Amino acid sequence: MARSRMSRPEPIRLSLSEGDYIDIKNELSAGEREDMLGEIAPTVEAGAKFNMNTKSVRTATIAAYLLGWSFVDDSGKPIPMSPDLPATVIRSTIRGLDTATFDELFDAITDHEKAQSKASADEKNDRAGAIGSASISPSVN
Amino acid sequence: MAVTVKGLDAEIKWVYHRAARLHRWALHDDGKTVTVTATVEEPDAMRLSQRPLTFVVTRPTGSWKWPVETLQIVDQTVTVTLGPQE
Repeated sequence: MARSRMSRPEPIRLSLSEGDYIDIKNELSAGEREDMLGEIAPTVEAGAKFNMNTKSVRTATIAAYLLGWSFVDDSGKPIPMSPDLPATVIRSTIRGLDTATFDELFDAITDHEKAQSKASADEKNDRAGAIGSASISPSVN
Repeated sequence: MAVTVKGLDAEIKWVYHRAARLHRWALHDDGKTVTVTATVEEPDAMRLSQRPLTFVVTRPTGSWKWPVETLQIVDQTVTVTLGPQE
């Protein structure tokens, strides 16, 4: 059966220190990745040096994946976080985190991203192997 | 006993993606079937064609969610039948 090439949204929960958690996208769709890259490198001209907006790399990565979290404010009230919030609100909320929490989020997401990339590469290799095997005709003696 | 609940804003979501904003919604439960009618805004045809879809009403202390079983959009009016509340 043909494989669906559409990205399937799937939320996953990552545990953080002190019993907190974040909910993130298991993987980005093509459009979500394009938006993230557009924020990191908004203008790329053919043949020109690739200028990366390094100040935004980590914030853009967290914002692209983040769906929600368990974080509360000083009075114990949940801090809103949702992909439906305006991009400026998401970005300013992330930028308002303390640096240790920000780093913890980024590390958790990039570890997940690496694991996903490896799993995707392995799956692709398995498919290529299966196609390669199937294309070999049996010998006839 | 039949129950009708009305509200201003709600959403239909495909997992965590917003598939449509709903405005002036009315949920009617006749004891057998739960249906919602609403004005649909910003419908995303691709997302609305996916499954599972969820009807979501955001409340001050969380949200109400029902799985969407059937969905029909005519002009700007959406009619949805819902499964049991999550």
